Amino acid sequence: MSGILEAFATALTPMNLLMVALGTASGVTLGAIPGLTATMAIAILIPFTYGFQILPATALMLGIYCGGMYGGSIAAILIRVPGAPCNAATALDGYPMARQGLAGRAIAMSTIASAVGGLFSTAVLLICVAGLARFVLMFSTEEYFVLTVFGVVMVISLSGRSMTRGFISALLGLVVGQVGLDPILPHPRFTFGVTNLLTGFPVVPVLIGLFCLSQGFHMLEEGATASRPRMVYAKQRLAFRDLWAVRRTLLRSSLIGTLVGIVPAAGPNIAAFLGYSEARRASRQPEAFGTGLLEGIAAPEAANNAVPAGALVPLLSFGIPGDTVTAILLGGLLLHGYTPGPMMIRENVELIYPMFLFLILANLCMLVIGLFGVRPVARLVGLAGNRLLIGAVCMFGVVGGFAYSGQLTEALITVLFGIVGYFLEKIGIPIVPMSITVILGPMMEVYLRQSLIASNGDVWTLVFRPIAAGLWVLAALMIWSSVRVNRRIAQSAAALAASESN
Amino acid sequence: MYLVGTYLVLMAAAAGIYVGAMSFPARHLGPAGPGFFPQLVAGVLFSLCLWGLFLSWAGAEGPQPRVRIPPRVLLGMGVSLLYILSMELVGYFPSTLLFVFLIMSLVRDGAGYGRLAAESLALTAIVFLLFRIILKTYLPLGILFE
Repeated sequence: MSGILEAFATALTPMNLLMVALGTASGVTLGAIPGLTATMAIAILIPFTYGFQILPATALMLGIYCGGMYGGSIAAILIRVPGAPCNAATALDGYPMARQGLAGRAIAMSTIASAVGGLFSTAVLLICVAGLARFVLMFSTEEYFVLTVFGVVMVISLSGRSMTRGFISALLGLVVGQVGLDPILPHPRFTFGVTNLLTGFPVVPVLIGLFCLSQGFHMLEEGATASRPRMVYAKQRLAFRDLWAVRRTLLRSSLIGTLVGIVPAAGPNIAAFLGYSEARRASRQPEAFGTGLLEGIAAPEAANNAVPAGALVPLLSFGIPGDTVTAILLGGLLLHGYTPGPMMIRENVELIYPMFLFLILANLCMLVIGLFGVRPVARLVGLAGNRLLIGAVCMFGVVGGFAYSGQLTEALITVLFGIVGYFLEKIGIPIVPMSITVILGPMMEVYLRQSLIASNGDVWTLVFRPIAAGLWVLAALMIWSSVRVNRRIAQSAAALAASESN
Repeated sequence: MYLVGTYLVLMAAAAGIYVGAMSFPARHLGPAGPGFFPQLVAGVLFSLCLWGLFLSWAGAEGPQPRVRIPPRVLLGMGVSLLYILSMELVGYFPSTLLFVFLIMSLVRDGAGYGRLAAESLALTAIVFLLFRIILKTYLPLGILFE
């Protein structure tokens, strides 16, 4: 304990505090812009840290990580384009709330939930970091495969009444993820000779197309006369009772994000959808999810913001980055002469504990920025007329896709997936499962094939390893539970329709 | 009808993927080969679409809503594709200005063309300032001007 306090005292310098604040503000701003992600934010800003000492450099990068994870929810709520893939779940209830003129409330809940998730996971991990590192060692490719399947199953269970269509949507995402070089034997698959497709469909332009541009086409369909309630500022406050009502969701989702975060490469995407799915399953009004529920925002945001602290465990213990952001963080650590590994947690206390402190400070900064800085922006968007909003959404959709890497091919991909997303939703096939399998599909394939190669094709190793078996049982329980929930929703809807016709 | 048509198209695509994957090398390697996962996914997709067709035929998914796509949406899609082609030719600024103007014209709701032009210019300039000036993100100049 005294070691922790000493490390904290060393880390609390004006320079480090400034770096945390700057990093968080940059992360929130860049994360909120469609086409830019927390990864790009770190990549843009990391050259500035070359001359820094390790602590200010780490403070800046962790601030960006934390801010970027939250910042993506702002665009998800205001214009239905997730700033990062992990914010896609936030759009499910955040955007309907914005359409009801309640964008300020939605953003306030997103801010508080993100801070709660981040602070919870940091506190837990500060205590348990050594023990959790040992647990992570038990994961192999079989467990990772089952974890990705688990994540996909969760998303399919959110497909409403037709899980068949949800499953088809998920498979479409798997098909999209196969385009490009085979990850194990580098042979081109379904590239049709197009060089730009050798690296596959880039995830961010695909998501911008599916969520943003397709929404732009939906708005075109509704036209300029579609009614949109004006955002009334007085109604945008969150009362303590609103937070108290979602306390269980916040706790559950924070725990989910913490646990998912410590598993390398599981990432905030799985955490966000797991958190959302669990909240819906446990809710007394599951049918209201997707219509603009505060709980539907609290769940994914608490979960995805609980991931950064968890991702530090495999990063520092084994040098395994949990996602692209921690991969860059790893590069920063190596640059400054630190080698992540099993001894690092014991021998570099002067770096480990300050990192957790910086995460705590970044979450507090994010709380201030989110509660006082972002709502005027939401108000501004609310004041814009439909015509201007349609023009802005369509423009951001295409330019955002292009800005990802400066290639017009990516802008074309954005438009094509915008058309696909619009059409799929028109015929009743949800796009959310597709969006998650576009991200998880390549990982799922690699883990499956590596497991089967290592076991000489023995499929049962995917089932009977203890942790994998536990995850399968959990997934089966989740599906069964979701089927029950969907049936309950269908019965309620039928009863309501019957009473209205009488 | 659109849903049934989509199922049939997806089944054809799945069959195409399955057959296409047979030409990938190293098939004797089983799971190690590049064709394993595409064929697995294609098989499941084909089966699910068949099941979906059965559900539609049996009326198990309730009445299908009529799907109507207004002409302005199709125009918007066409304009979006032309926007990318024009960006390559003439660069970001002129193509984006025209794109936003045309999109807003589709929903102008009585607004004058002068007002639309001013709003398009403002939006284009804001995004240019944000991406090009502040974030130093590359925006194309266009083949004609390079």
